Amino acid sequence: MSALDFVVLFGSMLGIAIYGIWRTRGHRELNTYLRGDGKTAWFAIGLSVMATQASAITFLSTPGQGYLGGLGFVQIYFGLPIALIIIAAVFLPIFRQLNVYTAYEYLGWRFDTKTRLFGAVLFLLQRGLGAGLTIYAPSIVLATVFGWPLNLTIISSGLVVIIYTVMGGSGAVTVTQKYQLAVIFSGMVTAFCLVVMKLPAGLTFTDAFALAGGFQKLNAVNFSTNIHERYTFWSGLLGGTFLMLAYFGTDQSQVQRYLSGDSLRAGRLGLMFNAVCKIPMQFCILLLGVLIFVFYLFEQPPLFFNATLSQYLAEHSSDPKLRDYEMDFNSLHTQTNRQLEDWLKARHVGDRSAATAAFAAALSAHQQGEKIREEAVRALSPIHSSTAATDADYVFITFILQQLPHGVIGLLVAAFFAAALSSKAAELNALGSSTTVDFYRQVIKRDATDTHCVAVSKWFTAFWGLVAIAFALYAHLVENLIQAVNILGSIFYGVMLGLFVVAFFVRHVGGTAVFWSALVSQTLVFVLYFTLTISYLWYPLIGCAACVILSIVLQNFLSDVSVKSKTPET
Amino acid sequence: MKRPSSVKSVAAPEAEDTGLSWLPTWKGVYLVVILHFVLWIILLVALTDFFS
Repeated sequence: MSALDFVVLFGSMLGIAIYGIWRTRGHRELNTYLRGDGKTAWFAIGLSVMATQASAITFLSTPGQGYLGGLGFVQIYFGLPIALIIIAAVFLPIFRQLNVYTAYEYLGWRFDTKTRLFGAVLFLLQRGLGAGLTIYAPSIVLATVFGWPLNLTIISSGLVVIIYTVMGGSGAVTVTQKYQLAVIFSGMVTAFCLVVMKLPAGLTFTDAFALAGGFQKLNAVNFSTNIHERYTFWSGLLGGTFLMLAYFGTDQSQVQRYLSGDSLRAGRLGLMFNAVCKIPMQFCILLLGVLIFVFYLFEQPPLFFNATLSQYLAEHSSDPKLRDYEMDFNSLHTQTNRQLEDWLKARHVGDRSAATAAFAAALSAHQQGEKIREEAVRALSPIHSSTAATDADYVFITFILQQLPHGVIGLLVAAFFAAALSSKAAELNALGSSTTVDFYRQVIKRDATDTHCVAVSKWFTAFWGLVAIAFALYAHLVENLIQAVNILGSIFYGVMLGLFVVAFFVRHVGGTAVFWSALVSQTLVFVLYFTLTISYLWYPLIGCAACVILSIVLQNFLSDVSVKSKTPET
Repeated sequence: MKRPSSVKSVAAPEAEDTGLSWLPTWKGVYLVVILHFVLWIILLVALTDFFS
């Protein structure tokens, strides 16, 4: 990074943070600290909801997912528009009418305290662990950019986020997210344009698409009914609807965002803005990864994108085995490159048979190269724990640092930090709010004043930030960050959603039935997750369905017992 | 914090104005969102079929 990059990075980040703290100075009441000033317009809510979901992982890991797996990942968002319509029509009016701080307050109002606490525990568990993953992503950037040890960057970036969130509260999160998104989108659009400009001369956009399609990177929709396939149209539409319904409807980090609006209308339009924009946005980010894949078909890629492994390779270049892997990989890439140049020439002169033959040879050489890469990873895995992670999370940052001009590098690193700050701050703020409102004020100190609760909320926010840092130190063990976040959500969200579905739609079920049903359903999801190999997108549906069905059955049983016990003996 | 007396009093206010002159009802807004979603699915299916 050059001086220009640092000016862009620190200028944009500090400017936004100082603005947020200045705009929310004097927010000492619980209401304004946890929900903002309640005057947020619909467009700001829409951006805030988007920024909360779009963490640094979205912008760092998703292009890597596109690079490795193509566009298929977009299917996970197919349920999102339907879920957001249900939330706007059913959930939001009820939350606003009840004037709740947290979604779980509604469970306490509808059922009882134990069910409210159970809902809050599920949220705190999954969001507390998920927060660790969102701290890990910007740490990868820091470690790669500066060459600092990963654990040091995790701790330092985690502490920065904690200080920022504790000082500003919910208001700071909302007022700064729109500016953070502006930085993020500027960075991503610039990166997209530069990738297109960096494609080889003579390779048109149509050629690039044909090439990506030939390497199976443009398979955006898969109608397979195999439940073991991770991303299909059906798992995205059915499982994805439940996953998104649970995330946007019951996760406090999102509920807090759309409750900050000045009216029901503002919250609804903010959600509809996301329902329209999310799929195109994710498509473009995945397409960026696909285009980076095409770029690296013509440019020599590193054997490992993972910075730690790359460094290990450089330090042990004298090792004959590692040297052989690298030479073989580079040689196969040269073959791929040559064949693709032949393919391009044949395609442009309309020689179909020559084009087909050249493409088949290129595909074969590329596949052999990938096998060499896999063998190298296997060979290094007993030596280096970082091999457990795939290269996906490092693809985009490697491309940025090696291929993009100074100034743009600073802008993109700033974009990652903006994304990390916006989503992380919203998560920590929600964790602090829920712990204060659902536990502290409910169980420990019922007569706590607002000023006292604001102070306690800040401590809880800091506590959850430290938990997230601790978990982030182990995040290198996960396969891919964007998938890990969704897998974690899928395990917990189904039952959380089940609690709210029963609360909204099954009026005759009471607190005891739903509490025990939720407990059994969550255990069932854990057991299934560790025993079955089905796509994780089905677990929100399974958890929700199990909770609703068990609640109804148990309520009928409890009603029978109650009726019998009240019937006088004759 | 004031609580309403019952869930039944919490009806979804579909009659509330959307504030959009070209889409005055919420049902209309939801329909536009669904149509936009269907259009994107068609585009993605076309992209998959055309280039695979």
